[in-house]
Amino acid sequence: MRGLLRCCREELLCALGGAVSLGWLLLLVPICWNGAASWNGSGVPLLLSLHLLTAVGAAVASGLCWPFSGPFALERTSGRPAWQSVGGRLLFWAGLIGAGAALQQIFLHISLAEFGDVWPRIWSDGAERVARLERWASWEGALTALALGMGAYVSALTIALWCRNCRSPRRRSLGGAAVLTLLFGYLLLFLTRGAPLWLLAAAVTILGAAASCWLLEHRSE
Amino acid sequence: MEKLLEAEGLYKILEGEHILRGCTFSLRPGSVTGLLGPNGAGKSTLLKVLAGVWRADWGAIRLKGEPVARRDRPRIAYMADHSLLPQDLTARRAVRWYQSLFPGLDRDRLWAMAGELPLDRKVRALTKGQAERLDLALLLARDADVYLLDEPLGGVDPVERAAVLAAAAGVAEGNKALLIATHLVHDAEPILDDVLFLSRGHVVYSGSAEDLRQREGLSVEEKYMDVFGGGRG
Repeated sequence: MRGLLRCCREELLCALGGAVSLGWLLLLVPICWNGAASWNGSGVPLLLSLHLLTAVGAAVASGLCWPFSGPFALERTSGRPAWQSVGGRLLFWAGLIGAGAALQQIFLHISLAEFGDVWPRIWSDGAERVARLERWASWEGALTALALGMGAYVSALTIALWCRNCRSPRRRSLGGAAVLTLLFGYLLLFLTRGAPLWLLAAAVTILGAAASCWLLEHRSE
Repeated sequence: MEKLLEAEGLYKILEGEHILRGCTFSLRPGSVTGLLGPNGAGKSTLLKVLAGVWRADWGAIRLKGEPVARRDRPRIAYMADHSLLPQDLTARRAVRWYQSLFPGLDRDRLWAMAGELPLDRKVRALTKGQAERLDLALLLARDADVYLLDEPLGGVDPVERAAVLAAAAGVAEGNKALLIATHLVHDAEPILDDVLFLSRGHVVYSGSAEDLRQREGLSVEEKYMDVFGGGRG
């Protein structure tokens, strides 16, 4: 357990140094706040999700980059078990994405009354849009956002670990892993249209985490 | 104990090419061994396999007579030919990160070597010499049995080189062993107790540097030229 938390702390250190800028996250707060309070256009839900999108983007970038980085090699020499390496990272990114999802919910709740008043007057389907947003502004919505973010992270991590051991030089690169992650995400959503998003994301997270542990233990060294 | 680290028949294939072809050798406790050979001989690959960055396709590695399990890997400390620390962290945070990965660093030894470095500068912004000093300070502050150094002398000035060699030689006192891969044979020679010549993944010569001088009347550099340069030099 101590190893798991140590790995989580190391990921926090690395993330704050690179993928996630604390200043940028703080700067997003007034932007979202302003968006939530004053602007009622169709793009506003996206604006209110900037923290969540930043966290997911940083997680995916981190998952893709880690297997090709120096710290990865150094960590392999430390004798850390694969489940700690993967579990500690999952823990950290789940915390950050969860915080992003929570902020999204806060901003949505601030804005919903305004949307309910304005949107039906702007668009013919305004009431439906408000209803959809109301469904998202709930515990279920927050958990779905968290599951989707973690699914994206774990997919990127698993594919990058697999690519690291491919013989083809084109696949065995950061660019190759990024392209394959995009393709995987697109194909998964295309082939499983209609399936509940949270269920799909949770399945990808669990299976991907297990596959990552296996790849790290048996293929990456 | 005669052998601290033993490698037996190590093979490593990368991209279909045999990089290591049955390397067999051992390191004595309290010794500094030079891993010498031309470019492409497999020196870096051998160090990575010994450190556990890569797994050997065949062969065995034993530490104190026991196969190296995952939990034993921290006993083999490895420094690559480039810094493996997170490049976006400041040097100070990178030290904290390293301490978390390898607890129990000797802080006195660490700060004696790294104390003068610009710790608030990012690792990627350090000069090559500063980055190597930081890597070496972290490596030597660890309580390991075997220290593996890949080209620690490349890109540093002669004064820094002497400091690196002195620090490296100091750590091999007692029951620890140090394996140092370098092209700068002349600079490293004064601290070498043993030498290991590697060519195309084979160990073509291994023995004591002193024996070399006494039996063959050759310095390590002369023997190197004899083996790899066809006697030139």
